[in-house]
Amino acid sequence: MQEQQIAKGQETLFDAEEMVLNMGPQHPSTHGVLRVILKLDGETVVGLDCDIGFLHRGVEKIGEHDTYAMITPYWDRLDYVAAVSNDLCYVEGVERMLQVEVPKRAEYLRVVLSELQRIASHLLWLGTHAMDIGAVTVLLYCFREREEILKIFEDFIGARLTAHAFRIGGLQWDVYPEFESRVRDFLKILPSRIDEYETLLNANRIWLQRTVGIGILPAEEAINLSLTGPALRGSGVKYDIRKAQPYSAYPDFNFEIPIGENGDTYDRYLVRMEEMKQSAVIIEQALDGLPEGPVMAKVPKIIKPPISEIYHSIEGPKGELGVFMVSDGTGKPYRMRIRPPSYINLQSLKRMSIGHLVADVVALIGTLDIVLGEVDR
Amino acid sequence: MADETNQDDKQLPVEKTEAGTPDSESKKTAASESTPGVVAEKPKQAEPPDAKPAAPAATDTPAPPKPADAAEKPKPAAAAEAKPPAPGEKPAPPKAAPAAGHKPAPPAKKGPVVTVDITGDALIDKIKEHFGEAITEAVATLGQQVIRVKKDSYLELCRYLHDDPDAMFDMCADLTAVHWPDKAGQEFEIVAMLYSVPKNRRLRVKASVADGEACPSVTGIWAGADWLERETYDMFGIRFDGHPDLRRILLPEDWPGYPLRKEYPIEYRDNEWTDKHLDYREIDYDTSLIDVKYAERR
Repeated sequence: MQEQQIAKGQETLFDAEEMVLNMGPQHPSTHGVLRVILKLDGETVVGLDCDIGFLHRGVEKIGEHDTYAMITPYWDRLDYVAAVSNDLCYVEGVERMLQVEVPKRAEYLRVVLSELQRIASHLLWLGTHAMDIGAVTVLLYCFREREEILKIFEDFIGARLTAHAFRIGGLQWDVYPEFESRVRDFLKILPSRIDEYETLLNANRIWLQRTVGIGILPAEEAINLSLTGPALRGSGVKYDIRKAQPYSAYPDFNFEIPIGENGDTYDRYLVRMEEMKQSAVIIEQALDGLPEGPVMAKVPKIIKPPISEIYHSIEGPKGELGVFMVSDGTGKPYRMRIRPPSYINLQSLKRMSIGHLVADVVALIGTLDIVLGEVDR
Repeated sequence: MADETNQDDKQLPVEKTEAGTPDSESKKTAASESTPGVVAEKPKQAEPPDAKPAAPAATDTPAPPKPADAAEKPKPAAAAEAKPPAPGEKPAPPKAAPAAGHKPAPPAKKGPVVTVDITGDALIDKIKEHFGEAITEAVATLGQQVIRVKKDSYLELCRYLHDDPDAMFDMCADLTAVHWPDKAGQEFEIVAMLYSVPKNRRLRVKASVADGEACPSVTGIWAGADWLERETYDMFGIRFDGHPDLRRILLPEDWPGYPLRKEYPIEYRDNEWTDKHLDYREIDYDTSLIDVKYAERR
């Protein structure tokens, strides 16, 4: 009996050296207040649990108590590095409920702004992701270009980060006269700058060792995990809502959907880099074909959608950003559900991390491109 | 209603006068009285003028109801007994129930304009044939297909939609719930937004469950539903049978009440929880004080 106990003790001592490690909530590589509880065997992750909710504000509850127009600014603060895209999702959802036709010019400008936002969001992702892995230089370069976009936003919207860019029915006002030339100037420099990042990273041995083969997700599994956005396309699934179920003015433009092959961190990186180039292509086309005319549809002052419900989703920079709204015919939504891409993508972290090293968890959080403002809502 | 296209901020005054009692006023009167008053004022302000007499009990009480009054009202929350309010303190969220539900508006009666029955859709017909009576409704709302299924067949239908070669709904894009406190026996509506990548098609599946009743979990079919169901449990208190790890996700494990239920008030501060866990209190316990301050700030 006693011998058995000793044997058992030795087993625990030598074979099952598992320890629990807390990562976050205050950890620079968790991109906000994410707490990851890791169960480690040596340095290998054998279990993982995410503790989230530190930033929970109850936006869905607030939405039930505000009028439709009052809710829009709350959407800016979900994914606060891609506020413009968030607004697009919400206002289009309401417009579809009201069955309002948005003027063509407003649609085109919306596309320009949201694609600029996609580039800005991807640049921030690239900078922080590279920094997490150890390439601090890239961050500084990325912020240089992101700054240009934020300046364009600031001059048009008045805000850099929480841009309340769109109104239900169109845009609040038309763009300023130099807007087009400034965007074109930015598009001129962007390709060479993306080349710079690629020179820094694409063949960088450290970068390759930290990303190639890390967190491989086969396509089927990625779909089953409800993964969307560049993370899903990295696994080789050609699902982009801009093409699959086009909204706004996207049917008017030609662009490619980049997809990866292996579904690892490196492929997801390549997909996002290519997406930035494609965004530039879309903006170029939108500016070329920018129609004249009003930027605001005729929308009643008091917005009261008919008794109905809608699920509307767009391709945000992080993935499928959706809104499910139930209207009871009054001026406030009966229920407003946000489909947050960051939140849903984050749950695949567990699946991707197990079997990898602690340091890879950092790379995997980066590759999912989460924003905690959206995860916690 | 003017159809001028305009900025949002101009809407606010119009909206307020139409809704009846302006927010700040009701807040002030409420605050000057006693705590339960705050809750009692709410439906008045939220109820549209043409609202059906759905909640006469709530509207007919001009004076702040005594605590006994509150107990009389229909009790939509099973969790109401979970935490009886301590004397002198704000009632726990479930108790505040019927009052704080911000709209006792009629449940979604489908308008003829936006909602039509689905006809001539091969897949929907096939599902209807396969499940028969269990499919209670198959409509298109604003062009989006919605099917409603009896709770007992919900799991079976989901598996069918996932496996059937004509359906192939391989992604559960979203899963959530809607609370209808007035629908007795069907208080919660589970809504699953399904998407089929190969067919590029969306379908919304709905199933109603009663308060306190568990709903079957679809995590066995779509792994992505894991956190979605956890969040639904966290926010509505709906239990999912067969979920591998049903814990609260956004809120702390011991949080009282379920915030997205209609009876949960929006302006509610749980001093007890804050005291226990954060050892931090901004203002002393007199809750009426908090509301006065809040009203003034508006």
